[in-house]
Amino acid sequence: MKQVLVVEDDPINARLFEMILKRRGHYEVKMAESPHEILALVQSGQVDLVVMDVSLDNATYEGKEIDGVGITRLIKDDEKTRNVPVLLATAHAMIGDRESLLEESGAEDYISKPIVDHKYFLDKVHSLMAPPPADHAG
Amino acid sequence: MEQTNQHDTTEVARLREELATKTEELLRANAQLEEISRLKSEFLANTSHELRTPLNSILGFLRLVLDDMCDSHEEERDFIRTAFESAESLIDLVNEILDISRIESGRMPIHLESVDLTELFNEVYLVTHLDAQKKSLKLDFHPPEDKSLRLRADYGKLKRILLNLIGNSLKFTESGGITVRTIPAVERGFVVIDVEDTGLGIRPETQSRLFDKFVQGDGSATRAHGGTGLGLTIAKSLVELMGGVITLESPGPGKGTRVSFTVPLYRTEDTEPSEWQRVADLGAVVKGDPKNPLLLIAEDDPHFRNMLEDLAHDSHFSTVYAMTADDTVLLAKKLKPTVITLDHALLVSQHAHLTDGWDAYKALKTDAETSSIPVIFISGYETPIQDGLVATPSIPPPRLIMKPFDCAEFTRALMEEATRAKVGPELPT
Repeated sequence: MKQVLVVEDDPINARLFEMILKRRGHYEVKMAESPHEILALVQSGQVDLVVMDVSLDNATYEGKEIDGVGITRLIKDDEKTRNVPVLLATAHAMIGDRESLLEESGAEDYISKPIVDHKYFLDKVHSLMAPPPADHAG
Repeated sequence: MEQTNQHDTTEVARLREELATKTEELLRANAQLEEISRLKSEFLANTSHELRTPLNSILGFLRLVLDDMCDSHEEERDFIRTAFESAESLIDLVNEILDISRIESGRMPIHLESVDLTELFNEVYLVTHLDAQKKSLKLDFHPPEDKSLRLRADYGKLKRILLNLIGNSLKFTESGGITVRTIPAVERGFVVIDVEDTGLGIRPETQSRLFDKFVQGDGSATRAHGGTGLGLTIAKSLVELMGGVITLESPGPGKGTRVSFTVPLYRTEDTEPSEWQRVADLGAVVKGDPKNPLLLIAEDDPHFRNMLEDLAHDSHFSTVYAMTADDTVLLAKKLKPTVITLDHALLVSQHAHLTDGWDAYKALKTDAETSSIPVIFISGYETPIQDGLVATPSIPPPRLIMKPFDCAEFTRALMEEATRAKVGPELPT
């Protein structure tokens, strides 16, 4: 069964993601908040996709504050983990946020909260986890 | 002929200088407007983000229920309850955002009155002690020993500040307790109120940011404890609107937190000194040598006013004071003082036309009789003035002195404004 890692600092919204993914998508769901834990899970190879919240209050990595964009950057900069798709989920929904967030983080896709259409969200999750094209290096 | 030329040259030089000053003033006003606009956009973006978080869970859980995605009847009820709780936090958030915008636009009504701390503490205890009991926490209130002590504050606002601070402590304390103390500083004209807990504490790098909008303490713990991240911002603004200051300190994680704020004392008027002269029809008194330039002090806190009077007398000014905005304008017209100093927070009498320092300033500057009198504005809070200036761009910005108050800065401002009044273009040369 495919495994999705949910990174979300609001506990109610984390549970909502878990329920949508489990009940509608029949995925296995893991949840993590600390940057170290997130990176370790992604590196372990058990994670097929990360749903990543952008604002993480007071999360720190190597002594510096870091948000979902920064953690995604770390995942994408590491050769071992860059093939794990990341879907940014954020309530930063002002004009221009989408483009700048995708560019800054290197994430594959973006979805804004509130997530009104669950199917739209699951379609994104599903297509991002589709088998990579034939010329894929990994 | 030669004399006329020389006169023209002087006039040109004077106009040039005036133009340079005006240009500088405009540049400064423009920079201020840009900063205000930037802060407003930032607030809008943050607000949108914070509203979407509870909305996401309301919509999401209800969708799951409607689509029959629940395992059991219990789970269905649980999803609905979660959506309901998120709706409750959404309404808290909306109310607090409205309060913030009310405060920032200077429309938060503050009704200063004489407040008895013992009475206030009893009332706060009534609504907080059950929550403390539930967590087996001690909750102690220490009202001032001098039972006659009264604060000059808005009772409801003071209660709200205390409930907010105690509420925070209750959330983040698992053992030990919460102590509310009062430390009177009567000779300095205020009382310190301390809310101290033995809870989670706060990391030093976060402490300074906690009064900012939407900033919460320790990430995981706080999110789990809910809250809007606006409570302390509102508490700080309310303390400042009543003429106090607020500070927060924590020795570090796990070592508790202490929030202290000051509230001015309410004092009945001292008997009037004999050297005062009566301005009979207004009931106001001029203190000091009447041959000296006159400073009109609009200040309702007697202790702070005494200090301003002393500073003015030391600089060879005579003084007269007003407690309300209406009286300030009336006295300014009647006495034509050399300089006026205005506090933003003033007593509001019943049936008042003008309610605060900014109102008085506006009235003074738009009346030809008083518009040329220089004004020194003393405030703990810049926003009402900035907003006022934006709303009425024709009014020149006042000279502003921020609280905490610096005596030397005040004396300097007083001398400079008095000099400017004397050589100003309004006076015939």
